[in-house]
Amino acid sequence: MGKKDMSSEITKIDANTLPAFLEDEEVIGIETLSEYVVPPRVKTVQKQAMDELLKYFGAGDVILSPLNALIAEMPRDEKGRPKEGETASFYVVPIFFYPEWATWNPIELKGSEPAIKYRTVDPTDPIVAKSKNPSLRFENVPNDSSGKLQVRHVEHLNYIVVLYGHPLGAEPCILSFSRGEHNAGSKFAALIRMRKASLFGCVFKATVNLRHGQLGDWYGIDLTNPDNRSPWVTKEEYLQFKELHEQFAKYHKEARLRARLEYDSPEPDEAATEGNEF
Amino acid sequence: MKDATKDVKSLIQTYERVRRVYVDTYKLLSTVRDEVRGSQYALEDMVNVIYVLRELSRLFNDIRKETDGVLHIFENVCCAMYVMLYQNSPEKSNPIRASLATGTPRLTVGVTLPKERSDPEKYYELMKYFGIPAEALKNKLIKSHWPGICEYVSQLAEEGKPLPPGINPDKTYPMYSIAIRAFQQLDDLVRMEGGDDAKHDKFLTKVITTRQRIEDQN
Repeated sequence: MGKKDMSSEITKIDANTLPAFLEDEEVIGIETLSEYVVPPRVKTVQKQAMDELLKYFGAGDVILSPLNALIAEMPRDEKGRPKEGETASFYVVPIFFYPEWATWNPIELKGSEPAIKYRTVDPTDPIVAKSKNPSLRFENVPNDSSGKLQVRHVEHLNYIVVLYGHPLGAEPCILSFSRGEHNAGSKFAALIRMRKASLFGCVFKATVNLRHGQLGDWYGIDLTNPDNRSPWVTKEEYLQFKELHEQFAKYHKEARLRARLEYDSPEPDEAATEGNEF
Repeated sequence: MKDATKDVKSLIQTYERVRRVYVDTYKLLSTVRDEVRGSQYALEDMVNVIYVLRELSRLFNDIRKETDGVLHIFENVCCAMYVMLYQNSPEKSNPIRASLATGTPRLTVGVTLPKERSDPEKYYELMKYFGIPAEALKNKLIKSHWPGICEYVSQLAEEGKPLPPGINPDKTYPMYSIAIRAFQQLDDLVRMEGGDDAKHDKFLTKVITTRQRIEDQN
């Protein structure tokens, strides 16, 4: 048997893992990386996740992908089952919001075609109307001899957020809602709107909840007002987050902002049948 | 975006036709009401009238319900788009000034309350939070008022406060509505007597595509 390729293995990252010798070093050589901004994605680990991921994390844990840094751990009993009445939670401050629309290839084409066939942030693009209309959301794959494969037009509600009061620090990351989770993203939009203040001045609590659907269960994130801390950032933080907001607004305007959209297979396609997407 | 001028025009023309039917129906109903009070009808005739009135009422009721349903969808989609559009800059979210009316979206939080029968623990927890004694609830002296609780929860949301105990965040949802202030009176745009259709069509196109008072347009 050949030597196991360790490079493709998933490694769990703990907070503050920067080696001591790098702590005071000047950061160089990453200037050109800022050409394209691809923030890490807040990801909820699902029961059906890859085995490699489940080796280190449990279903319901929230991680930062692709760094695989743990954001919040689902409380578990001695048998490893989620404790009843308890859940994983963390705090976020939304910095910038933008919707994005993507045409997803069917899962059957995994390996032969890219997962995302087309994506756009242009609200006048024809796929925008298709994504919002359940009867237009699916289209046949061109040249498919079986006639069964369908692409799906999806609206993604993307929030650039910073983890608030978290050991991983306040690096911007993306919290994206689509398909079965689109409704949670719309609720978050409404909650922000109700504060009648700039989004980057508001603190929210993110809680992992188990959803039950016709095609199975999955974990999703709900945003609510915090219950045991101030719902507002401090004045100093406000100025800092405002600057960050302007920076991301600029990235978005220049089409340099890219969300790491993932094919979260465990999310059942309920949105299409229940009209959750709009 | 689709040019909705044709759809808006069709709706105004429908309003015009319905308004004529409304006036005619009112006159007719007034006449038959006076006659039935004067015992002018034979029993068989009255049965006929009852049958037709019942069908007429069903028809009006059906179209009212259908209109309300479509209106509700428009309110939801319009407000959801408005919320998304101004998510990054709430200070720019002024009322929506259209050619016929000005709309001001309003957002409140809807909640599904725990039920006393199926979820008594959460129900009494919530009522205790509001300071209502369990005895008064058990003896049916006091009942919760859903719109009032929604208003209260909306107020909490605005202040960034958490939900009261007993309310599941998963069971909350945004409720959208739009306050409409007319810029053009719809009755000023419709004709009670017919007339030159082509000319009226042109007039409606102008009114729908420009926010300008009718008197200023002439």
